[in-house]
Amino acid sequence: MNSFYWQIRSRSELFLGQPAAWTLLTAAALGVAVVLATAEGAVDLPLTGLWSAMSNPEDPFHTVVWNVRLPRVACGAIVGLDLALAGALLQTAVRNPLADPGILGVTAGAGVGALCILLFAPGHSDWVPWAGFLGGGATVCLLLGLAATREGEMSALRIVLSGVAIQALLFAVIGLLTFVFADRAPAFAAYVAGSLNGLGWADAQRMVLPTLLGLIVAAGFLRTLNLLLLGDSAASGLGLNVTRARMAAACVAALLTAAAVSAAGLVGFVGLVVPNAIRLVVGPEHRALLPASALGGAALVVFADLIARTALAPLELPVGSLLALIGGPYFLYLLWKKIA
Amino acid sequence: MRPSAPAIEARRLHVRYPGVDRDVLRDASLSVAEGEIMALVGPNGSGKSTLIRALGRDLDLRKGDVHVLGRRLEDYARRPLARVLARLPQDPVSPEGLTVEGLVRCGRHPHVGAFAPHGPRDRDIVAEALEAVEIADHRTRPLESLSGGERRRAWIAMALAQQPRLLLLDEPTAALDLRHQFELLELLRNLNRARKTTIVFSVHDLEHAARIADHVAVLSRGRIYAVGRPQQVLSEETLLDVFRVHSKITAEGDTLTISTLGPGDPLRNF
Amino acid sequence: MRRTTSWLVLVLLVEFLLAASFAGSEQANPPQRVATLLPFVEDALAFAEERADVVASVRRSLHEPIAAGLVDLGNPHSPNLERLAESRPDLVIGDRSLHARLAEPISRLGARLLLLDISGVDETFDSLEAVSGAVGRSPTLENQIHATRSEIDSLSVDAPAKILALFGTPGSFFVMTDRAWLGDLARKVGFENVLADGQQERFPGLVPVSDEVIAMARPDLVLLVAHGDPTRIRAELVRRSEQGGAWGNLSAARLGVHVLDPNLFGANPGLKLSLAARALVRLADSPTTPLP
Repeated sequence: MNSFYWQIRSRSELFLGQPAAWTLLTAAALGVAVVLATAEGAVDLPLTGLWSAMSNPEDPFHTVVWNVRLPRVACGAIVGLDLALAGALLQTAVRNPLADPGILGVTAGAGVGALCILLFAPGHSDWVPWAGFLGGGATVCLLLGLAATREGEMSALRIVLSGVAIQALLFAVIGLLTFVFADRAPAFAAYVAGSLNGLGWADAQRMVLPTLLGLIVAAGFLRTLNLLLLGDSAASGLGLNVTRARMAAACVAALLTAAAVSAAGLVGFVGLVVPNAIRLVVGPEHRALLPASALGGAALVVFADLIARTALAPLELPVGSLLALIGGPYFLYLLWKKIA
Repeated sequence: MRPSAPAIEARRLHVRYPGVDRDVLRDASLSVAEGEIMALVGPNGSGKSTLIRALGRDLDLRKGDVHVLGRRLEDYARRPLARVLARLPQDPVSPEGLTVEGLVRCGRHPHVGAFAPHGPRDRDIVAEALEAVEIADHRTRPLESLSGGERRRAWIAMALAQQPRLLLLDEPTAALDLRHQFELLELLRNLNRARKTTIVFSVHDLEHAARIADHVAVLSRGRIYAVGRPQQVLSEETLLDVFRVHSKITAEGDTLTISTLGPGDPLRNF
Repeated sequence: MRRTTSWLVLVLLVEFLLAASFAGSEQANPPQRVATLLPFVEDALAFAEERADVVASVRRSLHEPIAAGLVDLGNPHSPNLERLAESRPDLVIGDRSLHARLAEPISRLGARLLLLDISGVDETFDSLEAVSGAVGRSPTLENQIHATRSEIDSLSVDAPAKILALFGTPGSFFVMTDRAWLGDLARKVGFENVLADGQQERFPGLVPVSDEVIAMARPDLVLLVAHGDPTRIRAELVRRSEQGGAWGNLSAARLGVHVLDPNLFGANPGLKLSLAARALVRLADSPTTPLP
């Protein structure tokens, strides 16, 4: 009996040591989250009726599951994937685990871009993702410019401080915009808090292209990202154009963030919590880190949204706030560990 | 001095750090022949690190230029330069969780690039590099679990994976205990002998410099004070003039023994 | 010739009577399933039971569930789409300013969406008529609309008075202009909004205005609409007036400062606008009479 236990334990340690293991595990977590999220919701649906509801258009629950719940789950997964991947990329680009699109103000920048379209060109809602990308990209440039010292080095504290300052500024802009245009304000409240309410298959479709683009670039980038971890001096000594690599990583992060923000509003902390948690078990090698982070992020958002819409049904908790509740304490813990 | 082109040559370098209004390196010229070991010595602030970094294009030159294997440094693109010249910075940042093998594999980047897959030849070169520095047993261990000396050797293995003709090391023996210092020096000497790699390194301990270097360059206040064979350059006058230390130096074959007898005149600000 | 004409007339008469009786029995259509995202529409549709069956509604106050038998859609600002889908409505009625962004999700549910503009009194009645049209015309409902409209037209204050209508709490409030339904209603019964001076067009319905402007306003009557317990809000109001400042000046208003009942004034009351109008007139004409 004892040796059986040890066999299992050593086998699982061996398994968990493989980089692919965590990709599989997070994929499984995502699968579970998706199934749970499809089965549960504000409307009670017995598990046995789930398959019929999905496949049979005549089923009374078909609309609920197929037109309301499933697209929302799909959007949640894509948003989580985008934000977690963006977080991992930013953390490598600035060589700091405290980086995340939310904290560094990239989310807020994308939000300002999206809000401008919603306010000043409401008929052109298909421009929202692009405006978000411009806003996010501009914020990244501003951040990197602010945080770099003359020698081109970037310390952890400088990045976080610059990011916090930029984020505060951008949130002030958002606050002003929603205040001045108070008659259009109710539509923004949910947006600013971050919400997956009302998302449909069209929104998921719209996010697919930037997500795929980001995934493809990130996949090609794996080795370059590993080099960035070695520090500017060592990386350039190995022949890498460090500035260009850093910019590219930040731009891809901005693209992914813009895609997520355009659908879900200002959802934060996914990019902080997930890659750091995954890195603790998988290590910094991006071949293992990026896929596991992406899948883990998707699972987290799907799960958080499930809680947001079932905890007080039919009232909805804002999913952005829920994620902040999880992510905030973790951020404080990371900060304390880093500074202590 | 051999008549062939030097491996690396600095011509009248002036280097100034941004925000400082004085040159850190002044009119420094140095020539290192291929296949030799050159040690840079000098007091703190004399410009040793700056010179090593300048030779490796790790910082900008205000005036002067560097020639590597006959070509100007500016004329090298990033990856071609990395294929001939490898740097080991003073305090390399070891990312948490990265394994030894993961680090050494990075050394293939100048040859393989970011996208091409690693072939069997690359794997062989990585294995060879690990063997050469004798940490093949630790290949799967994370860097932070190694001792300082082992970690330093892992970074050297990464540099070796670049298959460079030149190796520039900034204070490779710093913060190592005595035994590891010796081991590292022996390693450098063996590498030089086996692979004919030109090695330029900066060091505090003059005896260590004398031990393995073919030539020694003494720096003082940003200038090259003297260059030559260890026994010629490391004299009691040099130590008094540059290091402000009274000493007694005895030479036995290749070994130099330096006994310091106490400080001389108090250091003047320069 | 005369016999043919009279026969013709008789035939036409019979045809006309038959046609009329047919039209009368046209009520073969079953009542539509309606989901309301505005509470006053739910009340209005009570007059159109033959045409519309309200199957789902939003909450009037966040912590009170709705009437039994209806699907609870939750917060009017963010109605629960799953429950909405579950209720299988034919028609969904909402507020243009709040619910326009739900047009796409609701169309996916296979329901029609009717968005109402309820920013003023006339607009509210036009909206109610549109509701009646959308469910296939209900004579009872339309009579009700007509009656309420006439009553409001007939109401008027004895003497014109300057009014300041506020939305919020004594600690933080917005001024309601004529472009909010309450401001419009007050104007209709003869009040003059203190924040006039031809600047109305620039403002949306709710305006944040500085304390200084409030202090200089000198209205005859001040109305405060707040969500929450009116007793608590009145107490806070008294406390603030004693502190002086803007509320101190306001408490000197000739007709007083009144906290309006949120049940009637918290959101657009629709058909009960006449009750609201009567309450406002009473405040001006006999301010000591307690509020309804």
